[in-house]
Amino acid sequence: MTAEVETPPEAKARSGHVPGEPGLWVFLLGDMVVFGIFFGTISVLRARHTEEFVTSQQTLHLHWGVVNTIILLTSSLFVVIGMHLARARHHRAPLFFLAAVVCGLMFAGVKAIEYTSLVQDHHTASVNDFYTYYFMFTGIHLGHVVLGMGALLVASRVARPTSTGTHRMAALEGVASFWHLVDLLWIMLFATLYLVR
Amino acid sequence: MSSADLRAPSATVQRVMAYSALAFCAIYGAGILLANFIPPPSPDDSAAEISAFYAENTGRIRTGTLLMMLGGATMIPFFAVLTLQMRRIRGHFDGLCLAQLLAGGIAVWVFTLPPIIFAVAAFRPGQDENVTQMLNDLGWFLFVWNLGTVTVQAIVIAVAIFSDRNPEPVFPRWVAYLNVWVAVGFLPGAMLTYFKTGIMAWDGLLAFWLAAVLFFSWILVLFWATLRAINREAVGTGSTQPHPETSGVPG
Repeated sequence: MTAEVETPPEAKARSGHVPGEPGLWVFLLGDMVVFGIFFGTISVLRARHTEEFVTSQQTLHLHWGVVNTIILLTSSLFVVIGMHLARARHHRAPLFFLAAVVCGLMFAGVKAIEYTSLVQDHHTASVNDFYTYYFMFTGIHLGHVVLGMGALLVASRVARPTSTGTHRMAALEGVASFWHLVDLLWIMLFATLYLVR
Repeated sequence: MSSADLRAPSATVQRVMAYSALAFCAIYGAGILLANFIPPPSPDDSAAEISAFYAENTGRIRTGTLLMMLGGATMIPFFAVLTLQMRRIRGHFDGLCLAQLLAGGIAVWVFTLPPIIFAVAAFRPGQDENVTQMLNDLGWFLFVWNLGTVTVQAIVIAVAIFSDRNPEPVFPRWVAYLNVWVAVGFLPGAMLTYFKTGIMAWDGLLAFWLAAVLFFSWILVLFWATLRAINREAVGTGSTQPHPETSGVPG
């Protein structure tokens, strides 16, 4: 029926299982390096121009930031549930990946509201370094969200109980790892841009 | 393995073509260092400061840019042999190979154009400061901002490697992921038009230092992966050269 070979969980624990495939982590860790430089930049900016940083920070919409953090954490939970159901070849598995895509769309919608509101208040990217970096870093992150939604759509097909292929679970783990990274990077961005005083 | 469309040169010739990537890194890298471009002059410098930089380093810049101009062209054989090895993924010259060849050809010009502009800026020391500053700006824009072709090339190579369904893939899959990261890592440099200081400026941590490390790592990994593919082709059944003991065996 299916050519899939799944390693039993105990064997995974012994051999040190890498989620997805090892090569994926070249990209994931590399991406973390880029975002690490972003977080470092924000910290340096706060240390050098504390007053400008704090005044600008107070114009951000903290409540929308909180909402988006909850949305992404929920989406990660959906992906975790989806992974469990997919492993068990449960027919509901694709639904949870699609639910995570809906969360991604909601996140993008909230971001659009925030951007519009900031621009209407004349807090545009050209006002000072804080806004420049705010729009740039959250924009690059939003690009990751869009890429991740595409990957989740593919995952919702792969997660079907009828789907075959030798690397079914590895592909799903790869998508899940990327989505968790997108979530993690947002939490870091949210903390450094909205919260740290 | 069908090779009716294109006959590949012998493994030895292909290896020599691959090693041209190392020649590029050595010659081009030496040129950048000799021209005193590490660290780059800041985009925030005044016209007088830039003019003084070119006046004080005229000899170094002229010789350094000469090395860069010649070194850039050494990538021609490498990109050609990389395309030849990519062709083995599908067994024929497909659209991705064509896109890689096109991107590689343009990339050579991307490597060659900036040193020409820098050499022009150093050609008449003592000229109008604003002219020197403008040529310096133009040179750095062509050097750092010219990232579209290299980004697309990295994506094309990544897609080709991901599409490999051979039992023994031509290139390791992690090389594809590295290409994806290179494509993503180059993108912050696209923002340099908005900055004269900071990480996104042309002398900044992201736009210059990360991009430079990524770029040379990328070339070295591609060199290694291409050489590995050539060697495997030479000993395996996937060989495109006449091999007495393997000819007739379906690849």
